[in-house]
Amino acid sequence: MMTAINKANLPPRQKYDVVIGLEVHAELNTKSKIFCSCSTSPQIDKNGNPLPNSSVCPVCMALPGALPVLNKMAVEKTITAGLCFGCQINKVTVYDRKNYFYPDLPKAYQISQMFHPICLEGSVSLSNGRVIRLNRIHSEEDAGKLLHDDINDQTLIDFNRCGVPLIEIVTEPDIKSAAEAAEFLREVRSRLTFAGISDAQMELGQMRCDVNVSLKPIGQIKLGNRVELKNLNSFKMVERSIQYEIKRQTALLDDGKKITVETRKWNDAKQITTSMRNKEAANDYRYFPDPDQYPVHLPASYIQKLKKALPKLSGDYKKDFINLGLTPYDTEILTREKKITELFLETCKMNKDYKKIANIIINSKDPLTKNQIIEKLNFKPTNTDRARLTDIIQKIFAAGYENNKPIDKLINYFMGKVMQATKGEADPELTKEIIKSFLTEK
Amino acid sequence: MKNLEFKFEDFTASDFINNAIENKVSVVETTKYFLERCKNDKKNALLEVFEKDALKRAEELSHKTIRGKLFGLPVIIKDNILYKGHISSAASKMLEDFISPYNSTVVQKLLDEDAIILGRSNMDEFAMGTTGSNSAFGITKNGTDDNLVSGGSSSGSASALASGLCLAALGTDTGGSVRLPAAWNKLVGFKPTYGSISRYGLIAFASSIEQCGIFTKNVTDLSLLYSVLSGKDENDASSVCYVHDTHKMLCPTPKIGRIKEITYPKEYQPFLKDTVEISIPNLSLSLAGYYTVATAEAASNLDRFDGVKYGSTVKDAESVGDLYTNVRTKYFGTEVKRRIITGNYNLSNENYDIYKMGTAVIRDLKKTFEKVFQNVDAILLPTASIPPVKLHEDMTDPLKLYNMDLYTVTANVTGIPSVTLPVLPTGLQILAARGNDYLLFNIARRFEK
Repeated sequence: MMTAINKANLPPRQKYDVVIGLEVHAELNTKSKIFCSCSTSPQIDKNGNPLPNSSVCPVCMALPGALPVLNKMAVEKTITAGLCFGCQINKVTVYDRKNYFYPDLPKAYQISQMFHPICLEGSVSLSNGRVIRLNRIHSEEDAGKLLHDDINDQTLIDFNRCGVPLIEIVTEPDIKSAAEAAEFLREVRSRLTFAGISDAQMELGQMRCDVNVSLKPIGQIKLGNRVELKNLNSFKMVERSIQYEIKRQTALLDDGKKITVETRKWNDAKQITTSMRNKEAANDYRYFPDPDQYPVHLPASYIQKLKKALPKLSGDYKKDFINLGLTPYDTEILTREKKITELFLETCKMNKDYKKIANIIINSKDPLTKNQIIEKLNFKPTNTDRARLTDIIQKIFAAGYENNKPIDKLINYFMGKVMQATKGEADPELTKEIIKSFLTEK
Repeated sequence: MKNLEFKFEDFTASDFINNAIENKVSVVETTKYFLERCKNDKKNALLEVFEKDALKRAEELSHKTIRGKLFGLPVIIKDNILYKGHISSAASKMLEDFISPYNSTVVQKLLDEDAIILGRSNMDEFAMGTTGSNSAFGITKNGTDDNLVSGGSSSGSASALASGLCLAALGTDTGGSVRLPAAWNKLVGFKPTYGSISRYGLIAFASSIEQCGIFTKNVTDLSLLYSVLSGKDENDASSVCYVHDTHKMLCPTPKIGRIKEITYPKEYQPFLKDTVEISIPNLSLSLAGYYTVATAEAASNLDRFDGVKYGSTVKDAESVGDLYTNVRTKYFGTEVKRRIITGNYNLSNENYDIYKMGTAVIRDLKKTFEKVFQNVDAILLPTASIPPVKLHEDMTDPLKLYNMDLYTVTANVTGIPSVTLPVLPTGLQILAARGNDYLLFNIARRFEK
């Protein structure tokens, strides 16, 4: 007799093309805000928490009579971002007003760029060889934050973030899966951090992503109705929400239902998306050039200067590391974060055992200093170390294990157990060696 | 020296300052004298007299040995110009109790040169109006005649100077708001080149065309005030520093133009002698371009008045949307609402072509004037299209009122400087090329006598 098969466990049938476009916002790490001289870092209270409304002025609070004065560093860093993605830089760029009411937007308009953004086009190549085209990268200002006080049933506004410079990277709808979206975002984060223009930590809101997902029957040219996903604060959430949305839309289309054009919010606790607002009654933002500012001219010589000053990006390092004899997996991890790349490079100046250095960095749970790595490199286990560790491992083996798994998985399993037992103190190389000897003996 | 037959209000600003600097008049006494006049304002020209602060400042100034260019000068500012620690309401219920926490650049410059700000003047709400009747706090009477309106939107500043409450006054001029009331109050009124006086701290109406303007009794006073107020300001990205060519400024034999497309009233004929005819075929489009772009910018500029951060608010709103609706319905006046709605209409997706046409018209006008000013140094035209309106006349037809701005809006949309002289009941308006403000003063002096 056949057992009932859970539908959800089956891979989705390839009946639909998935079309995904991203809008990525990243905070630029300028010292001051984009249209006033307020610091981008608010003051800190005694407990180390940022003080609300401690970094504000007439301009970012939108007092009557206040006027924006453009911070050139914000423009410069936006151009640098464009150069990281091979964008075309416009000779003349203009800031526009995007008008809408919301309490976190004190002017009731956001100064953004609609008609003449700083950067156009550009692209990112994924590991599967596909190219994701960018539509544009433009410069704009951030809004404040609303804080809901449930106890007193009131909403408070913190304007510290108002006027923090952002870039918005808009892709063409070239992305086809959740995995591609996640890879694209990791690449964006990597380029921005390597270029030194943004810290781009999604968890801290320094990088935010809105996802547009639509499905269409394979072969159909006309795009399906689009759903916008919001509230995505990590790569994982981006990935999961897209997976969920593809499933949800597939089920609806399979049932012959229509997809509603709407904005949906990711609920991380329930791992689902829920409807936020209907897009049919779309906002009319009444964009027009900000009359408080003149167009900004970006001469070719200036762009050339910035191009020359562009630091090495992760892609450049990847090539270097492969040449050092590292595996693609190692290079991938070592180039994810600028800090890690720098640590690796610094350590390599003192010791030429690249593979070992890479392993120490990759296997370490906690961030290491250069000296700690060197210490570990020079570590020669004594006989007592070996005896103690053998003892521990023996006890773990004695507890039994499923030995039908491949050896790699088993090694990882025991490594974990040993690290747990020794609170991460055990030397990984030595542990691995002993575990291997135990497994091969049997 | 106090002269029994000579009253302080009969001084020109320049003469007064000279006397004050040389201690021939006491700034404490004169300040008290003008404050007394301000408190007895019969024209509804002032919304508030800053008695305590003005007196305190006069006391402080009297001890100064190094004295500024405007030492002791009693000045009135329009209610949309921010003065730290004082209310600036733009004559609107929306900002009735709004106290500015910072100084506008023009106020800072006045204070730096030792002027004394006596009070804030009545105006059309948010500077939107031609007669002064749109103030939330009542209409202003003409400074020279109680039966006439003062004219708007800087109604109070004009009336205050004309009725001797001060010796100079500041206004703002978005479409003629200084020059029209100046003409109707028999004063000199000036709208500078766009960008030459900082807009920082002026409650914005139409950012790309408005400027702080100056009311004085003669061109010499105007030139003095302008020299203090003008200049590049780091807080205003649209401000520009114009280099003034002194040789050109003197302009011994200026070439003056008269516009072919305008029918000049008879009384203008004596001034048109020795003028050359020039053509500005698109002149009549100024008004359309002006009202399209000015309303669009106003709609956006006035959205910040939402009852959330400052200004008037309501307590009983059930949602944020309700809060916005209730606050803006309750505290904005009719004309302000009309212009916000018109502006949003012009900017909306369906009607964006209107906005684009407005900007195109303005672009063309700028080009035309640039060309014309290659041939002439200045252009003459009337300031007001009609003499001052009677106080109780019906002033509810918006189109009729908008048409009164016919001759003044051109200088605003093209960004060129314009001065009006009180030599005719409707004012003699003189325009010059962008950046030629001092040249304009020199030419104006010839027509002053």
